[in-house]
Amino acid sequence: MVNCYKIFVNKKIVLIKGLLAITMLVLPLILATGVPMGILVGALMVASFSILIELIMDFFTFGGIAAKKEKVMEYCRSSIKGPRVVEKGLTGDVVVKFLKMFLIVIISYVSTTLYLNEKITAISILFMLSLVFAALVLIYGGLMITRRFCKTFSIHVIVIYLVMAIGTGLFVPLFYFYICGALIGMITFTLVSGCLSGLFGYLLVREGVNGFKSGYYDI
Amino acid sequence: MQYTNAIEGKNIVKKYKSFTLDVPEVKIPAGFATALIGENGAGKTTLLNILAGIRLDYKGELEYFGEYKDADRDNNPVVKENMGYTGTDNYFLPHWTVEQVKNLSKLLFDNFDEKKFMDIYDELAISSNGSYDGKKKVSELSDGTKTKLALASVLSRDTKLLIMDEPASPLDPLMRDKLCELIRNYLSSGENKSVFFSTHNISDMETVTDYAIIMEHGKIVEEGFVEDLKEKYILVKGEASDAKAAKEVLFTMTESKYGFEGICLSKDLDKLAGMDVVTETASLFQISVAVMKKNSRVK
Repeated sequence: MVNCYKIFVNKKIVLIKGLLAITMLVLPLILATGVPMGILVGALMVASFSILIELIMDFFTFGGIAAKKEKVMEYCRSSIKGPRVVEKGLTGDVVVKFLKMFLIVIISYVSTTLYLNEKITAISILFMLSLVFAALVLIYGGLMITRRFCKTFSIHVIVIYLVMAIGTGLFVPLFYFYICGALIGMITFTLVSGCLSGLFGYLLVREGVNGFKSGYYDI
Repeated sequence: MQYTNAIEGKNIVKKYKSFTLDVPEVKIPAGFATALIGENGAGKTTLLNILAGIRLDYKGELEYFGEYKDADRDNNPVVKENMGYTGTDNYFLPHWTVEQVKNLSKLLFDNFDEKKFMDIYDELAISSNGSYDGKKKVSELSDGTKTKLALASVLSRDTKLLIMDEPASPLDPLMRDKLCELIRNYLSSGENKSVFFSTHNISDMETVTDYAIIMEHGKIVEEGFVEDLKEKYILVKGEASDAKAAKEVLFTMTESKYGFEGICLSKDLDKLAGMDVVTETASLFQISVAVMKKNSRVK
């Protein structure tokens, strides 16, 4: 899966994304001291920036697929293993996005918590998990739309705006549950967003594979 | 001549809105280089894609290497492992690097030989500076170099059949000569190895062409071994005074104030008796153009 994933990504873009992710981790440390609930706001900011970066950079990293080139990868189609390689590559991308989001949010949370000598509580752990899953829902959902419909970068950006707007709507109840200490609400949110992120990740892979397979037919 | 077929197709039909590929029978003889010739839009790429199994929306039956059917091609790795296909514009993703193409080849094909790939990479001078440049993107390569990279990818595998769509078109004359050499070497590298390629560069590829298939409007209008075609179609040259009479007999003809030149079916040669004509062996290019002219909608 890793080898297949590496075929489809652009190393330079991966490097830029990595550097941006590391830079973002400084953000919660700055916010933590000056903003009430700085740890959570910091983590939220990190998650939001991560969503933005993932959605924007996907146009370049999986540029060929974003430009509907998955239908015309004749070299892959000349092998019986072609669809499987594409599927593994796309699955690798979904897994990498999950791991990256998980690590970024958790590192930002743990580092700021330690920095402020705060305690790690059950509800804050659930908050972080919900944040990761909600962000993944937005990333996978956004990518399903952009990879299918956005051939040009300008349209790609418009979709990103919409996704971010939906994201704002998603994060409001999350904060509400945390502030109210609504453990049940938080658990429900975590479970639902976790299931949805898994489903959207699966659908994103299917979308790419189906796009590739449609290249065997009229294009 | 006794020979088997690398691919045999029956009743191949593919319908587009304004074009239909309709091939009642197609045979690609094993052990030979077969050229697919035809005008733009004749259906060459569609036929090649169908035979290579990268296009599945067609009707008809195919048999590969005398034993495998279409379904085997799509389910049994043996068929596609033994076929190498090179396409044109949509072959590699533009953002892939040479290194990624090499690594992808390893993933896609069990019989990919990395060392052979590197040897062919050097042999074809794919890198402009003479050393391996794995970071070079496909989008940064010229059309000719993209074709060379595609050739390196398929020739570094141990296959029985190469299917190539317009391999000569983006290449310079020197590389076309090299392509012919590569095809010759491929054919002689094992028993019953076959090459099937489409081309508009008939003259350049004639030295390596054993069998020719000429298509027009989605149909095969002529096919045969080149030597047989050269016996069937004869080049005739004559005086301008005989042009009018000759026109009635010749398959195709061009005339000027100095005389005429045309292709005559050998069975009609007797009808030119009494005319001051000389006959010569026609080249595959002249035969192909004559056949295409006869069937073309181009005025």
